[in-house]
Amino acid sequence: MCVLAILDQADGYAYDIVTKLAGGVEMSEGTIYPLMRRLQNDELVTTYLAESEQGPPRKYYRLTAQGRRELQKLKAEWRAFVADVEKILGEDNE
Amino acid sequence: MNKAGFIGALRSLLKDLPADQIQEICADYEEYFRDGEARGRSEEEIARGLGDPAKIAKELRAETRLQEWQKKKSFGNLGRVVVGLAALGSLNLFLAIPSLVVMLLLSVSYIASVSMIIVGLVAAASYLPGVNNAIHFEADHDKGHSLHIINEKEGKKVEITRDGKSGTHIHVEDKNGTRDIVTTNDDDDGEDDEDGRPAVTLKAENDGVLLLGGGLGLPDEIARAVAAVCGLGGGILWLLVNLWITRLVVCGFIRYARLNYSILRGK
Repeated sequence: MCVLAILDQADGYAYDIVTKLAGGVEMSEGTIYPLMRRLQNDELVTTYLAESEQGPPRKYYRLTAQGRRELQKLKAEWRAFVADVEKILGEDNE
Repeated sequence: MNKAGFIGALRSLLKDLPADQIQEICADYEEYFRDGEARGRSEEEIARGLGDPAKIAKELRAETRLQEWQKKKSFGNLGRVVVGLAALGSLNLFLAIPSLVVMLLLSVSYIASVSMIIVGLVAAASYLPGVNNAIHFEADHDKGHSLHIINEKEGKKVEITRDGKSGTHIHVEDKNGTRDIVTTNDDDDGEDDEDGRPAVTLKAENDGVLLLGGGLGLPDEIARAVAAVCGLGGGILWLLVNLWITRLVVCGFIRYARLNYSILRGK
């Protein structure tokens, strides 16, 4: 979900995504490619090659319409989940 | 570990994947190293950040197999998906044993439906020209008015006696017992059975006599028709149902595998 959210803001390449993710969550950098391949496989993202400032072209990932829908769904689910947990924690505090 | 070491390890761990896939994956990681270095990290640091190539290879392999299977659904590929996921440690006995039982039941069901189709085909084939429910009898010996003919293959023995007044007497002996049939005419138009069909029809042939009809204890035509229609129709329907169940099972299996996979991934 986090990767989808990052790509929703702007297209990105693997290193860029990992850097952005590392700001928020802990993850093994190496698993980014298996993850991207899975998202690609599920047709949530597409790839394209774009020139980089230095060296050969980079592979960029872009969210598809389906990916955007999936993100909306996941966001809604996540918020509902957080709200439920909050309710329980809130009761606990009283 | 440096960049060359990491990529090399990954490449050798993935060597059973299609070459273009390996190429793509290695290019991805090379790009990652380049980007990391551009930000001032050393090759060793980046490799450490990426983690164990063996773990990455396992995930990539499972993912690639899954992808492959979805592109070209076949049982061979499914097998490789299962192996890939099993290697990932996400397949446990809770999945393996029920899926084995289901596959066994499905196989039995397939065999049964195919046999049903074969029975139907055989029954239907008996309607084709040239194949009928007649038995050819070789003339054994002719003793005046009676003709003893025998068909050893079918285990039938027939004695035909001509009688000028009452017609032809046909005595049939086979594993179903003995029967006596009286026909009023020499060649055809025998004694009719309940359905109005002649019990036995005689046809002269070069080297013997051809006997046709239900009176000889041949498979009943209605039974044959039922076998043909039920066998073919039912068998094909059953086979289709089997295919449909297989599809459901495989889809469910893949969904379950994916669930396991994503749990393992910590998504």
